[in-house]
Amino acid sequence: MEDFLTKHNFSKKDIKTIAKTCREMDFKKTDFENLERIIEYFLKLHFSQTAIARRIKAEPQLATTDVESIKKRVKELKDLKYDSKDIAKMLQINSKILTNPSDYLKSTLDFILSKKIKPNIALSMTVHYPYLFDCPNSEIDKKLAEIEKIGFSKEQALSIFEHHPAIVKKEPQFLLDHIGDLMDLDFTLEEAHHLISFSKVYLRGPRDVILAKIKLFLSLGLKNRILTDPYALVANIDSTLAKVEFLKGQGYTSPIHLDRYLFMSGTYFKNRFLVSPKEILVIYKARRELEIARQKKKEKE
Amino acid sequence: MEHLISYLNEDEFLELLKINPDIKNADEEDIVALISILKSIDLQAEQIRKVIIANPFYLTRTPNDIEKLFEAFKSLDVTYLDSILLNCPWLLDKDSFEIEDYIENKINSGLEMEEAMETLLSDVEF
Repeated sequence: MEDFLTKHNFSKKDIKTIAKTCREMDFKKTDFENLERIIEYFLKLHFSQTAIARRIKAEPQLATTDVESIKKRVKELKDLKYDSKDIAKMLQINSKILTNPSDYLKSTLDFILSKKIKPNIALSMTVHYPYLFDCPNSEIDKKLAEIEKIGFSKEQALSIFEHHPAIVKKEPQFLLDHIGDLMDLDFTLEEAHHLISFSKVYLRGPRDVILAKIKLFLSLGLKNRILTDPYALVANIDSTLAKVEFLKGQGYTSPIHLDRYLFMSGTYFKNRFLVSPKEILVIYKARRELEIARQKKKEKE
Repeated sequence: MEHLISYLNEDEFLELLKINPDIKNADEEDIVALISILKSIDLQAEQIRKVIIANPFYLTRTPNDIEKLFEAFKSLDVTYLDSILLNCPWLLDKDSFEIEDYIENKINSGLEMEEAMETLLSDVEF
């Protein structure tokens, strides 16, 4: 086995990890032969050597699973319309997908589809959060009900689940804290519910980075943009600040102008405003250097 | 997990484990390497904490894959990776080949390199 792993560029550490699992599972000659075939198959799926060693450590049952049943399961995933890249990604996170009964996948997907979520979104949700397959449907339903109980509508609860499937593992306090953050910024309760469920990234970004973006847009009079554009909070705060400084320097200070120009694509922005494309980079760099210096000073203190 | 505990409090750590139970299988050595990679792009301790909390799956990536990912960004002339990852921590789930394929597809569909990069950084569905 060691020669096989060395030939396939496994590091000593990864070899040690795999050998330990084989020992613990009391491997026989045929088990080793099967495992070699599994490893070759995973390498074909573009798993890294370390990822393979980790999967075997995390899910020892995988090492004794018949390689043909693994291939069959991957085919089932392809039949469900997952692409190869997404299959590899899911399996590297949750390899129980390969060892659990096939109903394990179908039950979750059928459940999501029963909520009138589009099939491509259902696939994307499980790719981004493959542990969703481990959540019993009743638990997801319970979580959705909990979200509704704290004031979100049924549609909003589903939207939160769509944008952030890991919500099924979060306590209600997580959403209550976010609602509190927004109400501290003078959003109404309805606006807070709307923004949290409507924005594509509200629950995916670091909480205070998202809040810093919201505060910035509010200070510029762009509350309406936040509430009507689900992508508004995707904007990078550093480049947005640089653009704001630049626009203000050019005399564009009204919310109408800022709303029009801040959300232009970078290329349009540069074509519209800059004498030299390097100009924005200079402003951007200056701001970043200042920010890093401030951060370091704060850490020293 | 000692190294990780120095960045997170106990509740935060347990919360991450609930979302990504595979963290318990991660090696201390890999965790140290993953955090060190984030430091290498100038992320400060508090920012590292925020990135990890926002994307618990980062802790179960392999350091080698992340190094390749950062190389891919650097080869595309991405500057201020720290700011980009703090704004879009979900990009840490990606592999280098996904970034390269994405940019290549966008360029083949007629976008300039700079536009393709901008699309990548704002494409939350990617």
